[in-house]
Amino acid sequence: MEANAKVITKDNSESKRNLNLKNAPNPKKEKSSLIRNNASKYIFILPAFLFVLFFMLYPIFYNIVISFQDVSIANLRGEKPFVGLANYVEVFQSEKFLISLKNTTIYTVSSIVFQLGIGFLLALFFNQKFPLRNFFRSIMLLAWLTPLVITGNLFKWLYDVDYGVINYILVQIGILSEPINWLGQQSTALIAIIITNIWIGIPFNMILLLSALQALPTDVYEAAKIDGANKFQSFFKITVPLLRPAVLVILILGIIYTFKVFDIILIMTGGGPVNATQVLPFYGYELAFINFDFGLSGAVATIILVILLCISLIYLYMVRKEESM
Amino acid sequence: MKEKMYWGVISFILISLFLVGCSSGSETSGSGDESDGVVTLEVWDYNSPDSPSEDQLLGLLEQYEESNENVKFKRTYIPFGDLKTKLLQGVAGNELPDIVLIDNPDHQSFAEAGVFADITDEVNEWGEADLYYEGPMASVMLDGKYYGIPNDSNALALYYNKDLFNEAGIDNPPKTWDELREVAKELTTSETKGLAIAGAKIEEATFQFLPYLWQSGADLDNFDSPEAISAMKLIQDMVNDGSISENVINMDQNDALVQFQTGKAAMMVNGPWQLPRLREESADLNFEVALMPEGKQAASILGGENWAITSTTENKDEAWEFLKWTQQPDVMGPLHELGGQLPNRSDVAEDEQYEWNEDKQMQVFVQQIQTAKPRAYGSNYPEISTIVQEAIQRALTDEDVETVMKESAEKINPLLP
Repeated sequence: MEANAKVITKDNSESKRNLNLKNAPNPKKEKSSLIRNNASKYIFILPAFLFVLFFMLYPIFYNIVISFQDVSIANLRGEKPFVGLANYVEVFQSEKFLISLKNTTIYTVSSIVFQLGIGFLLALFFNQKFPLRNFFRSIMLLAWLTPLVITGNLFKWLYDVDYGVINYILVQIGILSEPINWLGQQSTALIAIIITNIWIGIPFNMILLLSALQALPTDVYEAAKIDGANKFQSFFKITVPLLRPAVLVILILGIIYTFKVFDIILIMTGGGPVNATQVLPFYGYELAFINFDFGLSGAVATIILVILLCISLIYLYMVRKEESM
Repeated sequence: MKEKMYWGVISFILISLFLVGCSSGSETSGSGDESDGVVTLEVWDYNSPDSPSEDQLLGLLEQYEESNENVKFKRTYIPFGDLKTKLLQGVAGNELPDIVLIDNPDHQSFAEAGVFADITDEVNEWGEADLYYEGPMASVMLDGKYYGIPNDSNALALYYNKDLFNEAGIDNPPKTWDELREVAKELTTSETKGLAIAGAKIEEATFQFLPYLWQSGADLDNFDSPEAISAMKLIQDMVNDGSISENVINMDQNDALVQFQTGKAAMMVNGPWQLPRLREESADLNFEVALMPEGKQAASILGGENWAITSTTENKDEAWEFLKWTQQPDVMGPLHELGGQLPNRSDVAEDEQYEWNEDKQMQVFVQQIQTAKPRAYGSNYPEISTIVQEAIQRALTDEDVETVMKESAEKINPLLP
């Protein structure tokens, strides 16, 4: 506050000259000079603001508009009739939507639980000091660095029913009596994709948690040790509560990122067999670019947006609660 | 002083934004530049770089530019999967090219969307439409009007591995469904599957299934008829027999080719575009091509590319002159040879100087095309196709075929024209 006030008084002399000419009343003078003083700051954010406006806000807005219109390939150039909530009604009534919503939820929840769980354990492991620790830590990141197209195709071959390594190993050690067509049957396709995604996501979670762990103050642990706390006590009473904010952020980012799954589905199953791996983003894509039904697709995209907004709101609420505690 | 600088910065930003907007605008709207009497025709197609089909197209454009000084081409390659999206964007943004080379099942959708120009008058005046095979021609028509010209065709036929046939003691490729099932079963060993086809959840699955549907005497408008059910049952039975890999559900036509190339499949159903690849990559593979086995009748499916002129072009006459020129037998023949494609005009197809009349394997495809049907089911075809794909996948995962076909028919019927 103080700094601001200083700037205002300093600039008053300059603005007075203008205002005298216009004979403006006094309170306005302060306000206008405030804006002018901050103008340079606004100019700095202008490019970013324009970018967000044109490339993010406008498409989102346009998408919402389309979701209330009947847009197909036939009237893409002409009049697009307003149909109210008809698209939403149709989407909610289609069985594919319910299947994709269910699949997306299963996919997101199980991916996040295992990614975070295993990532956390690995983070604890790498938080110890041992030889070659940094080397192994960077090796772990490879899974995250590999482009999804490659990972997807790789796992497609690993899961293959005739030549896949996974089936071969499971049969050799006697867990399976005959190979399973992992991606080719409805009961296992989603599980196979979830496992792939868990593998991809572990290192990302691990690195974030590890950096949070390393930022924890050491003196708290020392104090606890002096007070006679054992390892479990200091883990559950110190590490876990202190990590809460970091875990919360990772959790929310993870949910949003995982909910938008698209590429891995496209590469590995194309939503099949039948609808076993149909997820919301892929369903929206299919509606727009295969069936050319842009209105319905817009409705699906808007529903995804609303769901993710709700999740973000929950996050904001929790953060506020955390801060007030 | 300071103030002036702010406004300077702001106006600089605004001016540069304005300039950027202008320059990109003039770049894209330059399709009809006629300032010095030279017309630039913009062409969009999906012939991938360095493929035989691209050589064919580039040869065509170059040849035409040489003989017509007032025409220049601006050709843009767009990957197969993106062409439709790109066209849709073009429609929305009013930035379409003059000429498009498009996959024939999509032709009607875009014609109905008003993307392609009605060239019925021109085609009638030209008077050569009767020379074309029925199937390809039907794919460019909507409600009795012409919206393009078929350029090249292909059809599915049966490839078979002669060595594996000899080993199993089979002399001839299967000619009927019963023989197909029988032979495939006999050829199946622990390492080799009898037949490889595509069943992944993409257009290729529909492409590979429709021939059986038509062979059975059924069509998409009676998808729940006993004939249609028998066609789906044939595929399901062969998977249950073990003669088609369970993995067919994730295989596209290239995967089928790889299975065949590596001897993991004794037969495959595939198109003529695989011939050059097989000859080049698998020189020691002893294979032959045969007509698709017949059910009640012979049938195969027609693939290929069509020419279309967009409705927004300012150079319709020049574009039409070019299209007409490409269809002359002495232009078309040599260029199709180069591209590994087949003609769809009887006068070119029957001309004995061309490869497809000397090459025994190519000849099979030429013959197959005569029974090949196009996917001409109106503008809802893409959606119908996704329902068919789903039906195939359900049958492949061992669901009851009759239920599957009944439920699919209910979804398909309202979408048919």
